[in-house]
Amino acid sequence: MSVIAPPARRKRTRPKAAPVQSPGAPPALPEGWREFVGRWLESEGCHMSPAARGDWEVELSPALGRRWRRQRVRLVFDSQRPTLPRGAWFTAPGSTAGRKLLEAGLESPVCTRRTALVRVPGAPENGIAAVCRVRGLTWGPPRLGPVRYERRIAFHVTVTRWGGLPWQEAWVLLLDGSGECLERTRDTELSEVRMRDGLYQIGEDLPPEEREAWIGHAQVHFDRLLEEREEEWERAVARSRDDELARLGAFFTARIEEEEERLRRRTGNGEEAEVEHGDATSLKLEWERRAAEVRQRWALRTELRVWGVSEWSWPVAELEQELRAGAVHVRVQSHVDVARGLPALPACPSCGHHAEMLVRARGSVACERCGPA
Amino acid sequence: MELTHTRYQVGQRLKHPQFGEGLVVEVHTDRGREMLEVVFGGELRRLSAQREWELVEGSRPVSAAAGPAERARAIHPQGEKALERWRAGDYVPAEQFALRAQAERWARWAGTDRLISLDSLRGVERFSHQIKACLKVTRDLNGRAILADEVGLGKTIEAGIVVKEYLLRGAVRTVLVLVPASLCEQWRAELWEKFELDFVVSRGPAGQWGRHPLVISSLETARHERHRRRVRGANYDMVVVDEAHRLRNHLTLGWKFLNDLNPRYLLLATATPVQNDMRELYNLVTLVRPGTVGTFSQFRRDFLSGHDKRVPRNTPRLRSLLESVMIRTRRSDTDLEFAPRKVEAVWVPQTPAERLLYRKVSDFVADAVHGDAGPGRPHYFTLMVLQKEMGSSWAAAASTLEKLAREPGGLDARRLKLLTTRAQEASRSPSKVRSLLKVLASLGEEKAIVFTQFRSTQDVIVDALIAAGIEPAVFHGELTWREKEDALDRFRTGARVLVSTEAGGEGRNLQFCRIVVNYDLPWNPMRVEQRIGRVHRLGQEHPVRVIHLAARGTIEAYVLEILDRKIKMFELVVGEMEEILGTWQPHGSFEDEVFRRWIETSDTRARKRRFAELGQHLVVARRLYQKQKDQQSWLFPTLAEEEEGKS
Repeated sequence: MSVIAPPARRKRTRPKAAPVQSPGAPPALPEGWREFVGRWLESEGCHMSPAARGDWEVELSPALGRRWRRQRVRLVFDSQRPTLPRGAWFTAPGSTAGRKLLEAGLESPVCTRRTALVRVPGAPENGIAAVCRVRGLTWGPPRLGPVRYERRIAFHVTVTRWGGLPWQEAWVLLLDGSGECLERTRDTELSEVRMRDGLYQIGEDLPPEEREAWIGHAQVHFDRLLEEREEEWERAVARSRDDELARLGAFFTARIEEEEERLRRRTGNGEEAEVEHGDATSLKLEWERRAAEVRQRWALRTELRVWGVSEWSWPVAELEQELRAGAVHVRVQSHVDVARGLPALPACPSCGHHAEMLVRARGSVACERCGPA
Repeated sequence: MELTHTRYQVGQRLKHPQFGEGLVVEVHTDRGREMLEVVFGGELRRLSAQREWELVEGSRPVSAAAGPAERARAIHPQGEKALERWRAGDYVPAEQFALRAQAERWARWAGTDRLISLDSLRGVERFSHQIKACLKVTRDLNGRAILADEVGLGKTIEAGIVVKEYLLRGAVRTVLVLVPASLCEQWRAELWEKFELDFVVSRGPAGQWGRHPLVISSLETARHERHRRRVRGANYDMVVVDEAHRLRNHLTLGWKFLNDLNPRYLLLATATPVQNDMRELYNLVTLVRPGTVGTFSQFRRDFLSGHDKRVPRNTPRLRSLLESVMIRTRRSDTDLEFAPRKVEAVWVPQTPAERLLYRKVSDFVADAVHGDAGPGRPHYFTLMVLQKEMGSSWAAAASTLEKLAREPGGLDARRLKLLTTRAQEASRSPSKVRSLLKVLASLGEEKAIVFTQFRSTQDVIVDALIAAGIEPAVFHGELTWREKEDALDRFRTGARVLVSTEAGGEGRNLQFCRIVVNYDLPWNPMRVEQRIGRVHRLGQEHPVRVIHLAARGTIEAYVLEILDRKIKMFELVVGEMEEILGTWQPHGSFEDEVFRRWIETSDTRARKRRFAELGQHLVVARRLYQKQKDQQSWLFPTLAEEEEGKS
C-alpha cells in the first residue's frame, strides 16, 4: 500500500452529522505527520491497511514486532476521538505511540552520500555584480568556467539546552576539504539544495587519515557552536535566574533580620502570631537550600548529538569578470556555488581580501579596506 | 545583623578547601573579630573573615550566587556511533537519510514560543487563553505559578498541558498531583484520557511514593505523618495542587508540608486565592515564589490597610508584583459564549397508591437509618440508594427492596416484604413513564437525551418507549467500546431519543442535541451539571432545554426547589456550583446533607423548614462566592490586561 496518500476511508452509508464550529475545537494533527508515519513504517517493512474512521491496521515487521511485543497494531490519528478501540494507539507527535515510533526512528545514526544538483543558470546573469558593488567602475560580461565537483562533508547535529525551559535546535555544519565551515544551517537539512543519491564524479573513497582530519575540524566547529549557543542563553535567560536569586536573597536577609529583631525585643503582642517564626539558623539553612534549588533549575547544560553525516559531491566553478573604468581593465575572479547559483565574494585585486565593494584607486582597483578613504 | 566592611558580603559564595562551595548568610563581629556564617551543603559553619577565602567568580552580594551559569557540556554517545559508521563507510540511501531527518524534525523540542504538548492532546478543546497561560507558565514563570482562572475556564487542562510539556522536554521525570480525595480518580482518568499520562493514585499504608514516577494523592494523605518523609524522599520534580485555596493558611499542616517539599516546579490551581484575609494571598505567593511580595511584615506595611484585612492598598503595585507569579483569565476576557438554557420542571401526578408507597418506604428508610447503629452503619448506603431509587422508578426500588427482604440483616423483614409487593405492583404502571411519554410527544421530532441514574430504570424507560413506537439508542457503562460508539452513532444519525445512565459519555460531544430530560434528579448538583454539560458546551448553537421530572413532596422536589429557585443553579456557569458548594460545605457532601435532613423527620412542615434552612445556607454561600469573585476581579492582574499593557 502506498502511504503517501492516507488510506481510503470506509464508505459511509449514513449521513454525516453537521460539523459544529467551536472556537476551541481541537485542530487536526500537524500536516505531514501521518505521511511521515506511513513512510517510516513502510521503510521498516510493516504492512498497512486502512481501517474504519481513517485508522490504520498495521502488521508490524518482525523487528518492530519484537521491539513492541506485538504483531499488529491499530493506529488512530483522530485527535478528537474521546475513546480508542482496545489496544489501539493514538499516534501524534507527542503521544505515547508517537514517541515510541520516533524513539525507534531516532535510534541509529545514519550516513549517506549525495550529490548537489547544478542549478540553471549556474551563476547570476550579472555575475559577480550580484554580490559585489562598485564605485567609479563598470562590470564587463561574466565568464563561467567549467563545473567541477568537490567533496564536502555535512555534519547533522541536534543541540539540546537545559536551564529554564529545555529546547532543541537542529544544525547542519557544512565543511570543505580545508576544514572551513562553509555554512551553518539551523535545520535538519541544508536549505535550497536539490540533490540525488550517490557521489557524482568523485570516485575514490576517503582515506582514513582524511576522515580523521575532517572529524578533528568538525569537533572545533562543534565547540564553537556550543559556545555561541551558551552565550545566547546567557543573554536571553540568565537575567531571570539572577533576578530570582536576588529576590530570594533579599527575602531571607530580611527574614533573618526580622527574626533577630524579634528575639531582641521578645515582645508578646498579638501581632506576633501572624509573623513567620523560625530561628535564624533554620532560615539560613533554608535560604541555602532554596538558592541551590533555583541554581539547579536554571543550571545550563548543553548536549550535542551528531545523528548524521552526509558526504556531498558539490558542483563549483570559477567565475571571471572584467572591471572597467577608462583605460583601467582588471580581471576579478570568484568561486561559484553552482548548486545554488551564487558567487562568493571576489578577492580584492590589491589586497586579496574578500570584498563587498570595489572602487577605482590610482589607476587600479581596490576594496574599501585598502582603497582611498 | 551587623554588616562590616570586610571583603565579604551576605549572599556571596565562596570556596572552602574542605567543605566545598558555600553561601555567606551572615557577616558580623564577634568580640572584635570579623566572622562569617556560611552554609555548606545544608550545614552552617562559622569562618574567620580574616582569612582570604576564594570567592566564586562573579559572585555578587545578596543575589546569592548569581555567578556565572553552571555550565556542563556533553556529547551524546550517538555522535560517536555516527562517526564510527562514517569511518566504516556504512552509508544508507539518500531517501532513508531524508526520512531520518524528518524523524529528527518531528521529535525536536521546539523553542520556548511553542508548546509541543499541544500536538499530543486527544479530545481536548484548545482555547487561546489556555495556550497563552501555559506559555506564560513555561516561558516567563519558569514552571512556578498560581493558576487562578475563573471557574470553568479549564485550569485542569492548563495544568495538564504544563505537566506534559515539561515531561516531553525531559525537564521533569517525577510529578505529584495533590487533589481533594474525592477527585483523585477523576484526575487520574482525565490525565490518562486527554494527556496519556499514566498516573497512579497513591493509596494504602505503603503508598506509591518513589515507586511510580507519576502519582496522584490527596493532600491529606501526602502530608500524613506516615507518608510525609517518604514523599519528601521521592523528591518530586513537579507538584501540582488542585483546589489550592486549601493552602491559604500558613499555619496548616498542608501549607507547611508543601513549603518544606519545595519542588523544582510548582503549580497551584485555585479560582479563589483570597477569601477572608489578604494574608491568604501572601501565603500562596510565598509558597510559589518566596519574596515576591517581601516578608509578611513588609507585605503588611506596603499593601494592607489597617482596618480591613480583605482590602489591600497600593493595588497597582501589588498587581504588578502578582504578574510574576499568578495567571488569571476572566470569562469576560475570552471569546467563549454559551447558548442560553431554559429549565422546566414537569410535576409528575402520582396516584394515591404511589404517594402512599413513597411515604411508607421513606418512613421505613428513616426508621432503618435511625436503628442502623451497628459498626460502620452497614445499611446506610443501601438505604440511601433505596431512597434515590424511589425518586427514579418503582422497578429500581422494588429490586433493592426485594434484595433487602431476602437478606434483611437486622432490618424489619416483614415490613420489607410488604413494601416489596407494593412496589412491584406500582412498577406495572408508573405515572412517571406516562409523563415522560407526554413530554417526548410534545417535543415533536427533536432529539432528546433522557438521563437516569439506574440501569433498572433505564430498562423501564426503554421498554415504554419501544411500546410507544419510539426506538431509542441506549447507552450505559456496561457496553463495550464498540457498542458505546454504535449507540452514539445511532443517536447522532437516526434515533430520536438516547436513554443514558450517568456514564453518558463524559467528554463526548453531543451538541447536535439540545434537550436534556432528567428522568430522575441526582442529589449531587455536580452530577446534574455534568448531565447538562453533555449538550450545553461550547459549540452548542441553540438554546438548551433542561426538563426535570419530579413528583411533588419527594426529596427530588425539595432538591430542585433549592437548586433552581433558591440559588438559581441553572443560571450559573459551569464550575461555579462547585465553588459555591466548596464555600458552603463545612462537613460531608451535599448528598449526605440532603439525605440527613430528609430522614430527620417525617413531618412535612418540619421537612420544608429544614430544607428552607439548607437553601438559605447556600444562598449565603453564593453571595460570598460572588463577593470574592468581584474582589478578585479588581485585585488580580489578568492575561488580557498584561497583553494590553505590553502593547
